[in-house]
Amino acid sequence: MHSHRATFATTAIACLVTLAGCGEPGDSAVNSASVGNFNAPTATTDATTGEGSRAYAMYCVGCHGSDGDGNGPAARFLRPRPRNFQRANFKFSSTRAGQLPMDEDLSRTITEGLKGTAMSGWKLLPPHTVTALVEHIKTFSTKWDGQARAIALPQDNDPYRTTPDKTQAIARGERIYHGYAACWMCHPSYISASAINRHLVALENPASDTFRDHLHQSVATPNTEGEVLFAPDFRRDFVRAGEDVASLYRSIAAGITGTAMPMWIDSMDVPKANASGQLVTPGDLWAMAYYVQSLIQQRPDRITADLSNQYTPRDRPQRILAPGETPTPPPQEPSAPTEEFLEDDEEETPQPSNSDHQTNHAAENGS
Amino acid sequence: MTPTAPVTIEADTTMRSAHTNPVYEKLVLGYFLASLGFALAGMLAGMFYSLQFLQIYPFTGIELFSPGRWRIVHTTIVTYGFIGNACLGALHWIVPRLTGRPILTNARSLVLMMAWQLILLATVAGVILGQTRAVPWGEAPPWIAPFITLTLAMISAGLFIPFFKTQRPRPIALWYFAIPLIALAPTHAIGSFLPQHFASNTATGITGLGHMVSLFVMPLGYGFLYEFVPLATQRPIWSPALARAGWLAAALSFPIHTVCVFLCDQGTLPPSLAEAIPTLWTVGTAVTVIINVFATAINQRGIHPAHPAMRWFLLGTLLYFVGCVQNVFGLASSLYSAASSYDWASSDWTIAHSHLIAFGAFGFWLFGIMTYLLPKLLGATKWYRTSWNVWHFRLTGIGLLIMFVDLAAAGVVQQHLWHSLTPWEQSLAASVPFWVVRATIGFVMIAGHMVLICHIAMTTIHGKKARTPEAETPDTPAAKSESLLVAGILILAVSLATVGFMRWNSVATRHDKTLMDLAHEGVTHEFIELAERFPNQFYEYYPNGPTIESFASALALGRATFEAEACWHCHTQRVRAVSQDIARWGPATRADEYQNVLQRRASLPTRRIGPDLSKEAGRRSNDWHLAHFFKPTDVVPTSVMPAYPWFFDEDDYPNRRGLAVITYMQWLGSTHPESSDNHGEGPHEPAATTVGHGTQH
Repeated sequence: MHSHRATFATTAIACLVTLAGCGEPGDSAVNSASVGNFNAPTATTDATTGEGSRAYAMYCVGCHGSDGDGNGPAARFLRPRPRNFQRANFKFSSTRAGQLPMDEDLSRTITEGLKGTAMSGWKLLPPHTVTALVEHIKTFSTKWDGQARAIALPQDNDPYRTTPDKTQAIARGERIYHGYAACWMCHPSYISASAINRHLVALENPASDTFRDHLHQSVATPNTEGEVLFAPDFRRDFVRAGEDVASLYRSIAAGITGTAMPMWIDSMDVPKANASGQLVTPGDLWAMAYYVQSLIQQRPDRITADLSNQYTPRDRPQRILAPGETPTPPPQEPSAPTEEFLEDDEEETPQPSNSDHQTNHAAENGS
Repeated sequence: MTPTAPVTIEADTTMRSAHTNPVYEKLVLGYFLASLGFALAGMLAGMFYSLQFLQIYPFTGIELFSPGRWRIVHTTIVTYGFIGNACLGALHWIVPRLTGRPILTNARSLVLMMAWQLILLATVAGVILGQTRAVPWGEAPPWIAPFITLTLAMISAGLFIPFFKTQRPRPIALWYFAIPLIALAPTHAIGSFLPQHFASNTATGITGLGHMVSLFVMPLGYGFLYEFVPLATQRPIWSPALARAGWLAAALSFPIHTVCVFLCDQGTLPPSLAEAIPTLWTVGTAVTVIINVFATAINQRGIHPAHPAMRWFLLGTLLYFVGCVQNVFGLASSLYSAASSYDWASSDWTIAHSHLIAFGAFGFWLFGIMTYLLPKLLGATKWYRTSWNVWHFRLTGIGLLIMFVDLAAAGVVQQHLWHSLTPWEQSLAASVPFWVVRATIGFVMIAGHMVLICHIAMTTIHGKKARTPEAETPDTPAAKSESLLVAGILILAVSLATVGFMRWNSVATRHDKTLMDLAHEGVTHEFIELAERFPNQFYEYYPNGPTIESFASALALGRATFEAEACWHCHTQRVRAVSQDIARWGPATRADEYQNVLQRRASLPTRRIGPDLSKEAGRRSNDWHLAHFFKPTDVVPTSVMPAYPWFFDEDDYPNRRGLAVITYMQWLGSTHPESSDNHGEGPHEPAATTVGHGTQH
């Protein structure tokens, strides 16, 4: 029957056309960024035309923007804001403050993500894609041009590594945290004021008779991106760069670039001695990391306690920008205050005024 | 579309008393026309919805046109409107004809038909207004569901009475209809009412696809074929014995399915076998009808469609065979290695299968019936133009074939990408060309359907009027003994009653956690962060701040929103026990994780288009969700998820629903021991996460 033959012939042709179309998904314009995984040659491809830019367009562009300025279409909702690669201030690195991070630092952030922020861990990206992305990120800033390769801080000197019982490390860390580094200036103190004084005296510092208000809560400070952020309360907040001891050590030793968190390695890399023996040693950085980790482990997965007591909501409203609105310009010179902070490793550090920020929030919130 | 009632009734009553024609033809016509109208609407809804996959959905941002809701409209009106109405129309023609007895009174039948259409329209309205619920194949708003059960019970009772009372020997086609007529109302009650109010879905839901197949697609479809293929070929069925064997197999299909699910739940039967046995049983049953249809159609000159309707029956049966092969292929690949198996069910492979069976096989059979009956029902001797029949067949058939090949190929590609653990975004991007073909081919199928609708209009206007009612061919031969029929019905009735009782019993003996139980397990950090970040909005809706009570209330609204927007159609809340799932989303989900009031309904969507959400808590931050709900493509350029601007106020701050749905997202799996380690999608084996970072220690 004629009509039948026609039907089957048309069907067959149509099927062939469909299959032919399926064979080359990469040809579609909609799909130009899709199959980087398959036709990607090697990690050393030119980052601007190759795998790096394709992967950037697929995974990163929504938040970090096509120009790498951290102002992608989703960025107006995000606090902290996405990193501005044009400025190349990277918070989490294993290098000295002010230096560009190691490639490993960037790829670690890409694969592990930053807990508590919109930066997901891209654990399923194949290593060559991550490498290509790192190279692509570097194309956004001229700071990377001709810069000598930074050297990572020592990370293999954990004196407590072989000791299964970390009690001693944690106790030492608590003493350094409160009595030497005075972390409670921004982070909460986790002990009473009199206990802080005991630690201060034990480390040959003068006892203090006045402490800041709300000593057991975090203080908010501005960062170089113009955002006001609370220092983490370890029993409550996620720690961005990872909660394992190595990551905590890295953050303490190298500091967090662009924020009030200073680099601590210089304060402890040379043993300080007095008549009675050593006051601080490089190993104390690790002790602090163990202490902070012990605090993190006290954080409940879910909060069942009386919410009005320990978990009073902190006043930190953040304005959602209008579409296309540019973010608040950051303060100009980012590195200077950090350096100052570093050199005075004692209690004289300028203490951010809490009440000022509260009013700022109120203003932001009102708009 | 609706026959004029009083006059017709009188005319037909007189006819019936004279034993001329027990069929109330205007009612059948009404069902058919309603069916075709819903088919058109369903195809249009599906085509619009498919544009969302190409990121060119024309109504983005309009709540009432949300693609998620229209996804439900598509499946609901295709299933209940197109297929349901067409089946009811065909049954109202066949049953009186074979039993020689009318169905109810004409007025009552008419009222029930109108009620069914009203229910469907109300369902569509409810779904569009966001009152749907996460019950697969029972998405009608909760307040409509009892009416559906009731109406189905009355319609099937009306059809069953002549079946029961007839003095004539019952031809084989009638036997098949016994199964859906018995099962229709109880299935809806058990599958739709219980999950809404009581039961969880720890076992496969009774209205799940397996039961849908064994209780409705198989017996109805086979019955139609055994009635209409002899009519259209003017030839008796090739092997009545095979048809009877098939009937017994079909009647046993549901009990076998149920027993396998039960044994699997008890841990006696491995899941792979629990899936394999019913599938193979179904395929074996299918073979009986496939052989019989083709053997009947073949004469000395080869396959010769005596009637335009035969095209539909033959192609439909062929596609049904393809669907069986496809199923066995998917099954074989999962039996080969269950732990590392491809997850065919979650890919477009399944969408290919459902369109092939629901539209290609079942829909085509129904088109065949309508092609055969409509001219008679319209009072014409034949169709207006035979060539129009051919074009309807060509456009629809080719469209469906291309859609099937296209989606099956998409499923293979998606499976490959998922299996090789590439980031989810890649599987979306790689699917786009296939989705372009699917949306395009929708136009062709709709064009084919328009040909049919125009053809009906032209036949009504210009068709040559039939002077006398046309005589049908003699009935298919009836069996001498009906003991098989009785046995099959008994087995089916007993198994339905058992399932109903077991479900009820499981409800009575199990305690789902209440909302407050869940809230007392602890408030999430993310909930408090929402209060900190959006105090103005948060305290407006929850004046007491983040308390246990406000958390419970936000969770309830969040889950309601998740159901209303049909999120569950694209996002599973079940990590299957296959390696690729576990690697992406953590340990396989245990049944007891669902024993709470929020999750007892659907955790099994029809197709996993987005990632699994069962351990979503903490995987992404609140502000990520915020940006993503506002406009998913802002965050993930390849995303095909709809935007939900109605979760936000005019300044783009989250409103009550926005806060609630994020609270729900950040709760999912938060009580699971592994949840705090979640961050992003990725390998969960401890060994894998430490690779490349060993130097830091």
